[in-house]
Amino acid sequence: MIGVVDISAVLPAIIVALAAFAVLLSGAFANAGISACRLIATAGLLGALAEVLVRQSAGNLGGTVVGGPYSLFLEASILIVAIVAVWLASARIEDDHVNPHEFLTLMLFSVVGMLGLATAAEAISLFVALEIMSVALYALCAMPRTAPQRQEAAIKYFITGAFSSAFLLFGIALLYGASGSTTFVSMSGAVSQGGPLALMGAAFFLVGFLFKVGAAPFHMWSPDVYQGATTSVTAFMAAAVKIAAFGALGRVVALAIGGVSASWVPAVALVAAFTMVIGNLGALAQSDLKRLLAYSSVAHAGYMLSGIVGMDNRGDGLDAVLFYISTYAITNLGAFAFLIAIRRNGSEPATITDLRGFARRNPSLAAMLTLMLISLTGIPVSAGFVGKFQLFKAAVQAGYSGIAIVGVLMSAVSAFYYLRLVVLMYMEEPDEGSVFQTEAGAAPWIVTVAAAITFGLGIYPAPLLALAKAAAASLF
Amino acid sequence: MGILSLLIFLPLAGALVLALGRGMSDGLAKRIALGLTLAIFGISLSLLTQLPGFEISANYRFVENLGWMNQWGIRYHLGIDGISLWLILLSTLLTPIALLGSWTSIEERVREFNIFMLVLEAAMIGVFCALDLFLFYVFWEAMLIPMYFLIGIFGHGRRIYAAVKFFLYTMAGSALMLVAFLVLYRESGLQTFDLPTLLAGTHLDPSLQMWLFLAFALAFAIKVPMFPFHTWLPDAHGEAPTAGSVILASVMLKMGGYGFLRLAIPLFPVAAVACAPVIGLLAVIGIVYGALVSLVQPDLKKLVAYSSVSHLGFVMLGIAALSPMSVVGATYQMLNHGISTGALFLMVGMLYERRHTRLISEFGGLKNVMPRFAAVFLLVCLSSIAVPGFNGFIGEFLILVGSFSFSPVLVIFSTLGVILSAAYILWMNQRVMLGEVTNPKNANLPDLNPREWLTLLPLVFLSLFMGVFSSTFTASIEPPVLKIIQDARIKSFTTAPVILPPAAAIEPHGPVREEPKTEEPAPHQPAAVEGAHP
Repeated sequence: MIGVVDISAVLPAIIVALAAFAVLLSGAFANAGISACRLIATAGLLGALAEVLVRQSAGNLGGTVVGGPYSLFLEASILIVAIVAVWLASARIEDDHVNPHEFLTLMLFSVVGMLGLATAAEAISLFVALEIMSVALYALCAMPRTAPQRQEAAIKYFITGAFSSAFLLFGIALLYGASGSTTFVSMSGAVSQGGPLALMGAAFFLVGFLFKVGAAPFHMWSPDVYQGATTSVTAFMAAAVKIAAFGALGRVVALAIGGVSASWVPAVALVAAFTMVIGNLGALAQSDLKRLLAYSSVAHAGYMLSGIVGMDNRGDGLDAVLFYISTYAITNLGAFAFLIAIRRNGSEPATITDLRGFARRNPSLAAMLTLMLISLTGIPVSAGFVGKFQLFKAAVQAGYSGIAIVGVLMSAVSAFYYLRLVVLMYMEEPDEGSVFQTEAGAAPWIVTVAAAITFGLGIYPAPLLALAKAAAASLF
Repeated sequence: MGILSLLIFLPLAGALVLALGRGMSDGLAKRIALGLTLAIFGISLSLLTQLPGFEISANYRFVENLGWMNQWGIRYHLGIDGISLWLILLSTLLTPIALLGSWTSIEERVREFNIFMLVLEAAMIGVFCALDLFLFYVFWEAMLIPMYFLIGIFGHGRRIYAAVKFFLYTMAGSALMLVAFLVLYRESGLQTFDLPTLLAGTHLDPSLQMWLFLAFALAFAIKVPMFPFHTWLPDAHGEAPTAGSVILASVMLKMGGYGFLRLAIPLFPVAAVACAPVIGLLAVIGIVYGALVSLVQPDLKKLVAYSSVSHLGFVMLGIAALSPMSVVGATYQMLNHGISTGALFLMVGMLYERRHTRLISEFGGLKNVMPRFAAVFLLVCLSSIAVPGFNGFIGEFLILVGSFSFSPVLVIFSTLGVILSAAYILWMNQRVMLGEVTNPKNANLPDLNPREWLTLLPLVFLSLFMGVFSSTFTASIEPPVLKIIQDARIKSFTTAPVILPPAAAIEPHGPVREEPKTEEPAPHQPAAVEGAHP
């Protein structure tokens, strides 16, 4: 390549990183308030989003990162989720006794890592991006550092996260040993010839990712971390990290290790089924709202893995994963925003019984949460149903009808715990003396918009489905 | 917008208006919902303008076929034949009646109640119109949510238990059907969920058919409900509010039989014919078992609920026998059951409103205090027992005669159910209505008021009218039934695609007259949708 280097594929990450520095410096020098920080962060994220949407070239920076429709889909989803998360977090930042500059800076840095994951076309970039994302998240979980349960969450997350990074790195090393290259495309040649080195590498690689997406049996960290972290951080993790991790997993599977799919797909199919069962049965036993959502996110990782299992060489299956992950992120953000939007007797609802009789007090918010729970259960008319339908269709098309059977039966199980919230909100009377307040600010709006999108995509999903299909097909 | 879409979306629009009208008074909400559902009934009557066409052929009419998710083989495809026609009319008739029937009994959260009823109506009509599997499933599941709320919020006693049980049972049942849809999509190789296309072009091997049929049958058998999948029904009925019970019994239970006729049997004829003896056996067990349990129920509402298990056993027997007469009878009996059981639930609800109990032992001698009520109740009871002259007689007669060649033994046992139903209904009537007033609380009960007359008269009239002029209804039910049976018979003898004689040659009633006004499906549809199979 002559002359200028095409940096357009990393430009969004650079813009977000600059915004992160700006937020940090604004705290150090101008002592800017939360609203100024939020403005800078939002502007940075919007700028990056604009760059993503207008980007024409698929410039590859020496083969380490790529633009293109697949990256675009992921980057745009991550940035939109990040903007929402910034507004959600800043609604609560003062109550949480967190330094807003540090908090938003870390959040933006983790977005830089996620964007890297979404675009990485090569193993070392992928690993570096993963670490940028994870380290920032470990620190986010620990905030504020005075609260012991936050410390606990952060330590647990850090240790298991480091563990999984080690697996991933080992997998990369083995794949490099087998192929002599770190780019996914050139790995695939060596990998598709099989051989113990390549297969071991693929296995370790997958295990590392399964840790990150919270698939069983590597899910143990997620309930503790979800419960321990501040709700806005949990919302951010539950939505954005899943997009980045599944996006990267999809690319690795499509480009690098797809050639030996016969040797690992049955294992991933087993993991998918196991994850659905563990996640849903685990959620049945939860009384803490955030733990419930944590187990539910484990279950959803299982559903999404069934799309990976159903991947064929035209991108079918992967498009279902992309559609599901973006809609799941929106719905899940809405559900967490609900927790942030309401106060019961002055504090955030913690256990499911705190929602008792809520529909009497605020019917519209209750209806919106119900809609999102319906979507998470996978009942029409909602985006969640369309997404599950596509995922299971992919699994059945690939000949894995068993996964689809486990999936639909587990969805019926999930109806039990999601509906329990609906029962509590609608069919039981409020406790004596319980007072519900709705926060002013962004959170109720986010709930509304998330519910509207969840419903709208349930009725007319074709545009997003088409985008996801084009994005997935562009990898092949 | 076509008339079927109008029927589906008008209730939804009404629900939206009610949902947005935050400060609306209860009275206004009730009036809006009732007025709207009456208007919808009026609109649905206009479907009858095509009645001559329905009587001539089994072609789908009022077809709407729009793109929805075309790339994924999913379309917004609606259309009705003679079977769905009457079930739609049943739904649109019973919704306003159910609303009027609960005019005073729902006192709290009235707006929400009406929203749920309207959404429910839309979903029910949608199920009967849908000609795309995905669309069908969407309506099928969408029906659950409003009914779940109706039972859970407005029910009695153990309402939450009943609501959750209803929801989980039905959802678990239909979950496997969803997988069966997906497998069918793969195996047919047609890349579509469009029902007519699948019916015309799918050739599955018998063992796969069996698995898929079982998945469908489970979903529908739970809905019917067939023995042994009926245990959700008494709970749901026992705790549901009157309007919920009426809709549940009159319309939603019919979805099961309708599902067999519209999907399970036409799509998997080999398996359907193979499974028919088992279905027939379970149906007869249901008939006798439901009747015996009804006999010993102390609770009026549960008695009617179990009688539904028994009556729907007849419907399933008729469907399993798969003879023209029995299936026409089964379809007719679905309508009859909707009308007579709907009326029974309404009247039990009226008693409950007056006395706040449904125990038979609490009543007695009501004929002396409320003679008009007792008279109407007797008529409704007679209709439910299927006394000649009433609608139920025609249905049961057709089913029993039509099923005789299928299995004389089953028919003989099921006649036991006919006798038992007379026993439990008349004995119940006797204990509630006849004799002296033994309980002083019953001494001053008011008789039927004008509103109650209004809810009951149409049903009583219909149960007599349908008992006398049955051919008005069966004439249009016959063509689609004949087509289903012929296709099933032909396909179950030849599992591989073979060249068959033109449909006209095998039509027992002579060649099908071509009828010019038939709405053909959109041109891009593969042909073969309609009566004649290649």
